[in-house]
Amino acid sequence: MHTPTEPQQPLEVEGRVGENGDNATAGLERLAETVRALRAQVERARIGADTRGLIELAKGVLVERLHIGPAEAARQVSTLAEQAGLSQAELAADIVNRTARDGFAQLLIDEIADPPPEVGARLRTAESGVLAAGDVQAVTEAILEHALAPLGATAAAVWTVDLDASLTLAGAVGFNPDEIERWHYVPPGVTTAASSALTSRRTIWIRGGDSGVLPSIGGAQFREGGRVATLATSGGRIRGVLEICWPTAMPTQPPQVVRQIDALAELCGHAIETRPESAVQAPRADLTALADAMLDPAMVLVPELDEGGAVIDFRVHHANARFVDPEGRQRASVVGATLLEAYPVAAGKSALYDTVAEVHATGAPFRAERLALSVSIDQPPLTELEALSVSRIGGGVLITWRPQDESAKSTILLSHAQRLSQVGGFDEDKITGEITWTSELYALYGLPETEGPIPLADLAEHAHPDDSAAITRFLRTLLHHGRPASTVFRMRRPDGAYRHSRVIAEPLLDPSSGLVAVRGAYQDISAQHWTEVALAATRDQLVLTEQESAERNRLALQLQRAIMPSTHDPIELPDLRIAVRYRPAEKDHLVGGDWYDAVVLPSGQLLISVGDIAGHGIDAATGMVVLRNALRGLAATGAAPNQLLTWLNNVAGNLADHVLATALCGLYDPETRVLRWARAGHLPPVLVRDGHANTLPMLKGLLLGVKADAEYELGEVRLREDDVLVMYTDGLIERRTASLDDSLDHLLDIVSTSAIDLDQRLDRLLLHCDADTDDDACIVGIQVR
Amino acid sequence: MTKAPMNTTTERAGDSVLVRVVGEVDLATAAELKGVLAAAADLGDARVLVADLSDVTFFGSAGLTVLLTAHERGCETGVPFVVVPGVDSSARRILEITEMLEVLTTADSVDSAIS
Repeated sequence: MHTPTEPQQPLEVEGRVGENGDNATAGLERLAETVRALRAQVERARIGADTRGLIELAKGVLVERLHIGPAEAARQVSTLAEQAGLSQAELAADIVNRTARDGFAQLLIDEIADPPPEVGARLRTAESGVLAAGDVQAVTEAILEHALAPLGATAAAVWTVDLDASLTLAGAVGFNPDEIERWHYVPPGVTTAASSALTSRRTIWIRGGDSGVLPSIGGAQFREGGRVATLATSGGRIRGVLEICWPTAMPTQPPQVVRQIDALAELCGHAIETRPESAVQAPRADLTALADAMLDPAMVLVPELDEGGAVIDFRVHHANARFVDPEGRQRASVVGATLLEAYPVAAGKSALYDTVAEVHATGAPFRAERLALSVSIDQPPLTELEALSVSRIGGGVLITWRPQDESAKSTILLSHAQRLSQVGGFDEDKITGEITWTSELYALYGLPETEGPIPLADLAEHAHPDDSAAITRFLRTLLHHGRPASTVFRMRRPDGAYRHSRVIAEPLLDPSSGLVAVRGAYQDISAQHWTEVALAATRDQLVLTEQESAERNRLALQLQRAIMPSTHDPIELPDLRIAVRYRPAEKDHLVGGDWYDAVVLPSGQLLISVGDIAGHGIDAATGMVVLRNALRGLAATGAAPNQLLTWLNNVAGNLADHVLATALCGLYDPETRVLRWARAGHLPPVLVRDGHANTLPMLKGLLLGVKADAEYELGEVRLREDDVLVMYTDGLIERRTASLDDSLDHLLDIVSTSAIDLDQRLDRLLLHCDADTDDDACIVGIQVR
Repeated sequence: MTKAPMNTTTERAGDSVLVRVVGEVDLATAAELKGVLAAAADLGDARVLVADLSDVTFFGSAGLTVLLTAHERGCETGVPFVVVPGVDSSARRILEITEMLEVLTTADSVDSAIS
């Protein structure tokens, strides 16, 4: 049996002397012979090496299984092969098949009950050859030699696929050399058998017999022959295409053959992937840097593989700074997630995931003008990506897009803003003389756009004559002095109506050439204007009214203060102390109707009185003045208090407009310490004696101003030392929520509390008697010393 | 919810007109009361006009003028104006102190006023 490990045979060179005895020719021939022999030897060695690799693999298996040494394993292989009647390679293949559970093994175990040993050997040898092979050419040769030739194929080509879907011939055996030369590169878009397999992503079988339907390598050579082009994949990616040619037309191949070819194609894919000279995988750092360098938003995806090496998802490896997540998540939360995790809808209608998968598999880039990306499944798309581009670069996928054109949005926004605020913009190029108006400005002027713009210098012709001075000033500042300016004027529209408008403009100056351009805006401010006018008018009116009423109030207050100062220097009589307090109502613009009085009469008697006119305002104040002074005058007669009130009642009755009033009137004789007093509808005074307070009797006495000639009861009380007598008006104690009697009791409590002096006592009253009716309060107090 | 300080109702009770006053009669509401009483007096075919003040919680001096006016009108028109001050009301106390009770025509209750 022929063993591949036979010792190297000595080189046998047959020398032949040429017929004409030419030594040079003979030498050349000898050289050629030597080369041929050497090549044959290399060839044999190579083949041997492939097989040797397989046998070494089998030996390894036996070492592990039987726990024997390598030498023993070698002997085992030899012995077993002899016993089985197989070549060592065939036996080795069998051993490997039974141990490995890969596609090859499956191939052989599956349909074929008793797989022919040479198939297994062939495949395993080919595999071994591939594993040992350094380049794709060697791989192609190994495959053809070991696996395809026995099937009747005479040529094989292995193409590698590039990013742009072009095919490059990486290995070719069995074709004419110039055919190989011509077909070294197939551009994308050219339909060949191999590129068809690529674009349709399935194996292409050509029976042959026709006259070359598809242009392909060796098309002339194998015109009649059958051909198959199958995808060489590895790691889920299409690495290339394996093309096999038969010299003759072939019938449909049995499944075993089909599967063999598939398995071989996978081998090729693996070979392409691992070939040393190709930097198939661009370092991921480069891809990240590329994404960062892009001005548009970009995302880098890398494939996620399952155990079998198939692509199940893509992971977001990087997103650049311009990237904005449609769902508004932080960039960091999207990077690192897989595409389907982050964007489940990518698997849906938009088919983004499928697109990415296809681009990754084929390397063919994908472009779309617009892609609608729904953020959630039920809602209509919230984001539209424009100019979407998906490309495979190295091992990753780069997705870039342009978000909705920012400048287009801005323009739309701007024109809305102009329309809503009634602002029209203009630009005048002084060099070219070109004037540009926005459509809003035409509307402001009331001109159709066909009329053409009006130069700013002609503004006065479209304005009210009275505004020409202001416009001249404006133009001078702008055009002559070269400074921004604005002015308000009345614009005359074509229909003759005037609209209050404002124009603002700024010059564009060049240091050397001067005024280059003027640009600015007009704004219709008529609504504002008329509002202001109305407002001013109203304000004036209001001011007038306010002034009038303030004047009246001031007068009344002055009057009142003249009559009734809030404090009064206490009158000092030898044995008597007198104090008065007046607290005006809260609404101090409403004059009250309360009065107090304490005056020493010529007779030496003291007149004290308090009164309360019903109502407030001017009439109450004047009424109060009249009554107070009347009482003073009447008291000069020396009449008793009750008589005084009878007269006072008539005075009140004679006043206009039903003036009603209550009053207390008292005359105190310091000599006798007798106080005579009377009341007209008023609360009686309070007497504080020995720490106790009591109201004096409710003498008969009707409210003043009700009926004429009313009669009043006279009261008398002799005061003692330290007695305090207090007269007050009900504004001191009145409460809406309490009964008058309760309020009275409260008053008695307060006033009876001991105090340092009369002043303090009265102050305490003011402080603690909490009335809430916004009425004036008057207090007159006397203390006997 | 701000409650109006004063509420009045005017109704006919047979050949009488009855005005019930609830709440506070002060400077602010006195004018309103004046109008109500004037309107009530204008309702024709009334034998007597009654003002029920038993539910008045505060009666200020401004109210006195109103009552006096109504009283004098009653004397002129011959349709008496009767005031029901109530037993313990604020109105009664004021009317007592000012002795208006003796000036006005009063009744202890609405029924007695009507009859």
